[in-house]
Amino acid sequence: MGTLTFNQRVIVGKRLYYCTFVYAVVLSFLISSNFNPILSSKALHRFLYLAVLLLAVKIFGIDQVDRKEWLTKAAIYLLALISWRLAKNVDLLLYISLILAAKQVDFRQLVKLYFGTVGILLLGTVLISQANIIRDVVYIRDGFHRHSLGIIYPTDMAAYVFYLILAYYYLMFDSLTWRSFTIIALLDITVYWQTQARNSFILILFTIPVVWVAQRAYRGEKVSRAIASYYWMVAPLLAYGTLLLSWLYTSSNGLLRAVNKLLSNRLLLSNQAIDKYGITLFGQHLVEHGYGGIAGLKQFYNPQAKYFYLDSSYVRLAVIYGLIIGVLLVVFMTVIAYRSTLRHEFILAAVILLISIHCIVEQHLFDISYDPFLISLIAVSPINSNKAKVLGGISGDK
Amino acid sequence: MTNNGKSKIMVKYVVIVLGLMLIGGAGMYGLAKHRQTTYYTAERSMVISHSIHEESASNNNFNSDDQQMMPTYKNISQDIMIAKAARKYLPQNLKKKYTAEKINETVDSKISQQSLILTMHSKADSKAAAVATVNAMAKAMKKELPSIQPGAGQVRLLAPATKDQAEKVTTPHAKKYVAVGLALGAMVGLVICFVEETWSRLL
Repeated sequence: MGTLTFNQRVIVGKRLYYCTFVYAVVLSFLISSNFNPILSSKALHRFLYLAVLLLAVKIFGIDQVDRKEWLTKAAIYLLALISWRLAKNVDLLLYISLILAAKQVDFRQLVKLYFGTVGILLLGTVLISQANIIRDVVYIRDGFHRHSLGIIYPTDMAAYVFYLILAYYYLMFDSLTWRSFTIIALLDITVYWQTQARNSFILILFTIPVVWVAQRAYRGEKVSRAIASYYWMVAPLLAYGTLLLSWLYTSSNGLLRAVNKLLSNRLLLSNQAIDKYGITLFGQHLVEHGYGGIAGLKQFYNPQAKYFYLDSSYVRLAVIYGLIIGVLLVVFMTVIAYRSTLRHEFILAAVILLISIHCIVEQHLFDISYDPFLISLIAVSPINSNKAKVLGGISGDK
Repeated sequence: MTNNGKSKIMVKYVVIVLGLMLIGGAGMYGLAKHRQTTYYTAERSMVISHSIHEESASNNNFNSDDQQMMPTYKNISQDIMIAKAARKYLPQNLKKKYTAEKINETVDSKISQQSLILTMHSKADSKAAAVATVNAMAKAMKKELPSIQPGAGQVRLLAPATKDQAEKVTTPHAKKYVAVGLALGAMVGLVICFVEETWSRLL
């Protein structure tokens, strides 16, 4: 790399990043789908290490950074490495690598890649599952048939739609109309009819007022700007609040019992995990028993089997991946949302707000096939693409 | 904004959060102390069963029947009749203070599934009272059960409760209250700082 000029390095780095990003998204998507018996999940996880390696080459070999930035990135990378070894899971290391390696990458371009890749994969998976090539696993709850449509679990299917809608909002922010919102509401109803995933259903509907206010704020409307300016603070408060309630949960408190019921027993499970395993600074390995996939389906219909899965992204971070790296991720979310508010763009603040609510009960915060938005921390992310092109050729977004 | 200005604001926010954490912690410590009570607990177990000899002499499986009877024995042990009988076994100084009703409130019984053991727990304001009430209730149970439930298994008392084994319990735990106070104080502090930041720089 030593003989490359600065511009050549930037071009090589960007191309390497885009290819690795698509590679990681495709693999992560396949892992969370029912291609599993055909494609081994273990093998797919091993292939992810190639993405981690390529990203490390970009972070420490291609990107030209000053000493302070290099040391900061190295420290964060080291934390992710420790968490990977202790938790025995590569997901967070991959995600942190994608964030750190995003210097000079055009975030808008990345979201387009995400939207295209995941959109095509999701549509293809639904069609393949309906052709019975892979399983459309059906879970029966309260007499309703919940279809996973080729994805590992119905709520994960709905979560893909939720994150794709967020990507759509980001890309089309300035041109969203009531027609767009109506189509999204109809899509939401269709997904709910198939999956019965309450969290994603409610949140997809909630995206409409949140993004509408953000759009009006972007256009300078005063009341909307006054509301949207507070979006950025939701992520840290919700992360903190979720951990606090999980820690304090007791069935003798009526209010906490009601919140636990609203969150489908998540508070109780989180509380049990915190009591039994404790919050860890650097990470630890936990054996979980969820209902996802073919093995999970057997668990679901086995009355003896006991469900134990930490669904909340915040609790997963604190208990499994380590509190320090968890706090860092929440700080990243806050910085992204704050910067978006400071620039009076508001869309990333709205997106982060919606993700932070989704993460109270779902685990997709740092799964790259769901959430590409934290990459905007270092990538060039102004929503005006012309401005992004100019900045993207020169330096990372600060 | 200059770096110096940013640092000053950060220091201000840290002071606000730490200050509110302290206030929260101190407030909850005060509340814990106000609510705090100390009591003593003691326990005594007993086995209620028919002997193996009796079982082999009859066609009945007493052991299994005894297990099924355990919830009934537990209910009997919590009846006021047992407490009245137990009062006779208390030393004079405690007899004045402990009526049958109070003994009944002081001592509770527990059983486990697939077990023939019934355990009595007492919760009193002194070690001596906790130990004396639970031992008295156990003795009363042994004496009264055959007349209340003819054909019931024989009650064999296990080791008596002693003052050495009695435990001192103080609730609520002040440490936990302080931790909750610190955490809630930090939450309020963060909200104040975030709102201040939005008002002064983002709106």
